This record gives sequence, C-alpha cells and structure tokens, in this order.
Amino acid sequence: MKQIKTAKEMLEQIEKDFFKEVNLSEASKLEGGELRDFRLAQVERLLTEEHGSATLAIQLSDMFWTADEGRKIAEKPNPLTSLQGQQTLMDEEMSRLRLILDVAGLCHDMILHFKFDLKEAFGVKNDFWVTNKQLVEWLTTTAYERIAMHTAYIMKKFAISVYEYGHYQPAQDELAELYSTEYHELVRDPDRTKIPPRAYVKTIIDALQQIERHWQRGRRLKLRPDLVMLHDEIYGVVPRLFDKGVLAAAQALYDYMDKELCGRLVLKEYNYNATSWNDQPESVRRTTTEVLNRFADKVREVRAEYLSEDWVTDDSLSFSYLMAHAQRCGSGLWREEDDAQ
Amino acid sequence: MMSSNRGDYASASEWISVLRQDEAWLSQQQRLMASAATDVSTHRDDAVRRIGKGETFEFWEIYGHQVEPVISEVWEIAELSLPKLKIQAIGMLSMEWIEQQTPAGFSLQQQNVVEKLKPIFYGQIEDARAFLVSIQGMKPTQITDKVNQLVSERKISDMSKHRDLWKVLHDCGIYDKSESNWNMQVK
Repeated sequence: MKQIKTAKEMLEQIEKDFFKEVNLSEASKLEGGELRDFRLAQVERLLTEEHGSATLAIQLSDMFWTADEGRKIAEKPNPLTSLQGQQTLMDEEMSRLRLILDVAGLCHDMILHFKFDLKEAFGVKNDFWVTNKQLVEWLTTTAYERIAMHTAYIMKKFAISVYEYGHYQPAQDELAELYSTEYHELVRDPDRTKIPPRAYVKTIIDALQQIERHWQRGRRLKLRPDLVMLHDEIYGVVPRLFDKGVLAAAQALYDYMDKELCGRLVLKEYNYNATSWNDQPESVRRTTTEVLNRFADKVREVRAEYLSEDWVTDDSLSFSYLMAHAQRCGSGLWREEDDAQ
Repeated sequence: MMSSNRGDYASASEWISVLRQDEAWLSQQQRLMASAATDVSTHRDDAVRRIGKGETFEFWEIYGHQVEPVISEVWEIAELSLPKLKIQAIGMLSMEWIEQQTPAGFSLQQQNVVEKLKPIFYGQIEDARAFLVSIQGMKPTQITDKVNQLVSERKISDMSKHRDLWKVLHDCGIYDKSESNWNMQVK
C-alpha cells in the first residue's frame, strides 16, 4: 500500500524537489520589497526550469491546486493543504510552507494565465489594462523576462475577453490571432514561442496600445462606440486612423440601425429555454431572417454609395461583422453607453 | 440566416452543421461547382486566404485538413469571434470540397504542380496531369527525353520548354539537375 507522507515529509520533499539550495528559513523572515524580490526570483526560476516536459512552476502548482481559476484544492491528498496536516508542523516549518504557498500561488496564476494582484506581486497599480503605465514600464524593463512574458500574455487574454464582452470583434480577433511579422510567428503561450522575451512583450504591448489609442481617438472625436465599431467592421480590422469616407458609410448604417433595426428582434415568441437555433419557433426564425436580410440589403446599398469596389463583399469578414452587429442591435444591444450612464 | 451568438449553439458540432446549411456556404459551394477546372488554383488560394495564418491554420495542418476537429479545437479556445470563425470555416469547407474533386491518387501538392504545368501545356490540364504521372520515378535523362517527345508532338510549348518547365520540375523536386543540364538535354 502506498505510504501517505506526513506534512513534514511532504514539506521536505517539496523543498528538495523545487527549492534545493534555497534558504527558505531565512527567506521566510523577509518583508516588503525584499520579500517581493525573493518571490519573483523564485517564480522566474520555476517558470524557466523544466523537469521532463513540464516547467517546475506547473508541477509545483499541481501539488496544491487544480488548473481552475481561484486556487481550488487538488483532489489528490496533500497533508500540507489540510488544517490537520498543517497543525503537525512547527512554527518555523509553517513559515516555510507559507512562503512556498505564496510562490506556488503566483506560479499557478502565471502558468495558467489567470489575473493576480499586481500590487502584491510587482508593486505596481493593480490593473491589467494597457493604460496602466506602471505595469507597462515594469514589463518592458524587468530582468524577470519569463514573468514579463506570462504577464503580457495574461494582459492579451484579458483584453480579448473585454473586447468580446463589448462586442468589439475586430479588436478581439486581432488579438486572438496576433502575429509577429518580425519573427514570422503567432504570439502563442510563452512556453510555446520562439520569440525572444523582450520582443514578445513588446509585440503584445504594442498591439494593445494601438487598439486602445484608436479607441481613444474615437472618443476624442466624440464618436459613439457603435459608430467606431461599425467603422472598424467595415475595414474588417482595427485600422490606425478614421477614414472620412468609411465614417460616412458607417454613419449611414448607424442611422438605419437606430431607426429601423434596434429591438426588432426582441420577439414575444422567442424561446429563452431553447438550446439551439433550430428549436426556436418558426415565426422567430422567419422574422429574424427577414429583418437581417433587409439589413444586408442596406449594407449593399451603402457599399455602392460610399465605398470602392471590393469593399464589404457579401462573402467578406467585414460583411459578417456587420451582420453580427445588426443581430445584436436587433436584440437590443445598441447604444449601451446610454444604459451605462 | 445563422446566428452570430455563441450561446445559440449547444456545441461546435451543431454550429458547423448549421453552417453547412447556411446561405454563405451554399453560395460558395455553388461558385465552386460552377467554376472550371482552370479556376481551381484561384479557389484554393482564396480558401487558404480565408483560413489565414493563425491557430486555425495550425490545427488544420495538425488534423490533416479535417474540418470538424479543427472547429472543435478553436471553439474550445473561445477567443475568435464567430464571424471570423465562419469565414475560416468556409475556407476549410472550400478546401475540403476542392480536395474531394482532386483526382484519386493526386495529392494537393501534385495538383499544385499540375496547375503550374498547365500554361506550359497550352492550358491543357489533362496533358499536364498525364505528363506528371508519366515522369514519376524517371531518371533525369528519361524526363528530358519525354519532354523532347512532347515538344515534337506540340503538347509542350516551345517557348516554355526551357527555364519555365525546368523551374516547375526543379522546385517540386522531380528534376534535381541544374538548369544548364536541362538546357543541354532539352532540344
């Protein structure tokens, strides 16, 4: 029968496997900036060193938690995560364990790409958005390059989720398929990239900043968010400028959507319990198709009036983006900035 | 018309199943069916452009050009918007359709070579295909003998028999000798 280790034995095993030659006893007495530096140095090392095919960071995280967000205790028995087990440890052993859990926790969040407390981890403002200058400064200058890569990747994932929630699909897709033209490679998970660390971080930060700048430019021009999105959807990407002609086309669509489309797909017969589109009543499917076909005709009309040939063709990504926007508008997801006020 | 709302679909399989009945794919399929064999490379290029160079393309290569598992993977990652995924899926369905039309035994790469040989064979795709099949496994001098024969039969363009033809066969690894060698052998 497999012997279950005691808490003390487990602690010693972990120290041997993950913290050899690290004086955890001394380190557990550190505070403030010194403690932060120690923690970062350990996480950087664990993110870099591998045993087998996995980094030590993921192996250490797996000792305690599942891969879910929120540090859920792993199912396999570990006396170090139970109160009973911890109560068998001496004070000095508990101090070492607390430090190990601190380091392992940051490893968990980094390697699995969950947001974490930036103030505690880096001593910067706790905000993963690219407008956080302290964070950007830290990431682009730190010697902890693996940490910087993983954090930048978390920023990218966070931005994708924000843009998805806000229905800003050109931005969502640009980040989802972010590509380094310099290194001819997709910007993947840091553990699967050949892009050098500084360049990796820069590629992500640059992309996030460009999208943010474009959005802020739209705000300065007092353009409504739906209008900015329509403009960019016509482009099919997040452009780096606002084109007058494209804005005119976007405005024509905006006006149509405002008057003729908003809320038209909020139907009494809509079945909110349906698990698929085919389970919706035929009347819902018919009305939706009719309303969206009318919008498609409007897109073609605007295309002919305002745009050059080959723009927003029926089979283009732009056309798909506009149809998706129309569907949301029809469902009442329109001018959401008014609801936010 | 397909919903662009992920919540309207129980799974990736359901989404792809709905896409196969959607007007966007059906009209693309009509275009493919109505086009001539000479348009294959244009449609293929268009399909590749739609698929793009992102993770979808990588999964496409990993799964040997099978649409369903690729969509399942990308759906699971849940970072791409549905409009973008739809465009990519139509690209993959187009490639699936094109590859199903490719003559049995001809790989995609071989079909690409046939497309490049076609203008050298006065636009006759069947002659280009037959030539490619006939030179499989031939030694260099046997290949150049075959070319000379086809030039005399006026199946290969006299103007294209040197550099143009050499380059196609050299680039795909069928003829590994130099251009000078080729020019010495091809009269």
